[in-house]
Amino acid sequence: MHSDDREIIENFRNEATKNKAFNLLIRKYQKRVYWLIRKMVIDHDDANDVSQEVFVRVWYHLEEFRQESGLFTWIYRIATNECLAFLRKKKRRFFIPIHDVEGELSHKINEGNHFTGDEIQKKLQLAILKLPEKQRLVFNMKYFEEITYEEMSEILGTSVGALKASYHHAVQKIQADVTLEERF
Amino acid sequence: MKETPENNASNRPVPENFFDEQFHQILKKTVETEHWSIPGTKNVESIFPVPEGYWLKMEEQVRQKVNSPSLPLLIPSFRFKLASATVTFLLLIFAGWWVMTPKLETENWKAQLEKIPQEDLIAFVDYQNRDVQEYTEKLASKSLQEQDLPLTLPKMNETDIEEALEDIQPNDLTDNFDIN
Repeated sequence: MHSDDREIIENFRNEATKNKAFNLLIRKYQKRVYWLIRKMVIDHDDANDVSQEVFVRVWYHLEEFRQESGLFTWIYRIATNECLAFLRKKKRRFFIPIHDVEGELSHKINEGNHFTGDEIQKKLQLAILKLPEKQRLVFNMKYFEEITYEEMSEILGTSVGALKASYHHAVQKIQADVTLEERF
Repeated sequence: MKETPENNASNRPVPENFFDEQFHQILKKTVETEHWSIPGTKNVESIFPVPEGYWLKMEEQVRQKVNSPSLPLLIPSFRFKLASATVTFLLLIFAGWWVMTPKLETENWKAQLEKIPQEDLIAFVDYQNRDVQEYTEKLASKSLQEQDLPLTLPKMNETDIEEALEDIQPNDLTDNFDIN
């Protein structure tokens, strides 16, 4: 674990420095957490809600954190769980099948308020949205954030081999999707 | 044995270094996948707009939430406790209703029984327990004036009456006697 993370945890456990430590923690990880979530939920307001929920959870549970993994890994684990829970809740709330949530997210990318990328970036994002949620998470973590498989394995609780296979399949699907779209 | 294509395939010798090559191919493919990318698409932060001054605002909002938690953002264990308390409360009400209802009905039932003249009640159970065939035959042989008096028929002994009284259902009373 990084020494500054250890310092954050120690200060957080001390009532006098708790708030200051928490502010440091938010500043250090807010962008990474937000972007991980934003890529999954697309909408800024949703990403904001989920990110805030992640940090509220961190506040309530950091004292129980046993430091068996890095602080970043632990926060990321909370973020991925919150993100998947949010998407599941969204599906349940509206009683709509999986493709409709993806349809809703694709619509957000197409309408332009939530997306300012060029054509190829849009194609890639739309192709990513067609992947199953967990595979999408794996792809985003590896492709955009370049997180190692070992670290990802700790975050998601999945074996390195399974993650490699998952990423491999995701790439193949995206490649096929993007190429197919280019052909038509 | 006649040679099938499968037999041919299994008899065919495996080329030297076949498995090494296979492994090499898989490895190559995985490495290619590892480094696969569409040029100019890695920087995702530039394609999803974020409002100006957002990061400070987010920090502030989180701080507010942890200092004064509103109900929906209260810690999940509290939400869980609240939900289980509600479920327990509802279960207790249901259990109370379930236990008390038959008791209330029995009490009401006993009160209703007391309102009915004993003679009428005995006549009723006597009528209820008589063999229908036998009773119909007897009725048919009597005059019309006699037919509305079940008491004129031979009575049951006391034990039979007691047993029959125990078997009376509330509906039997309300259907046959003028009681509230």
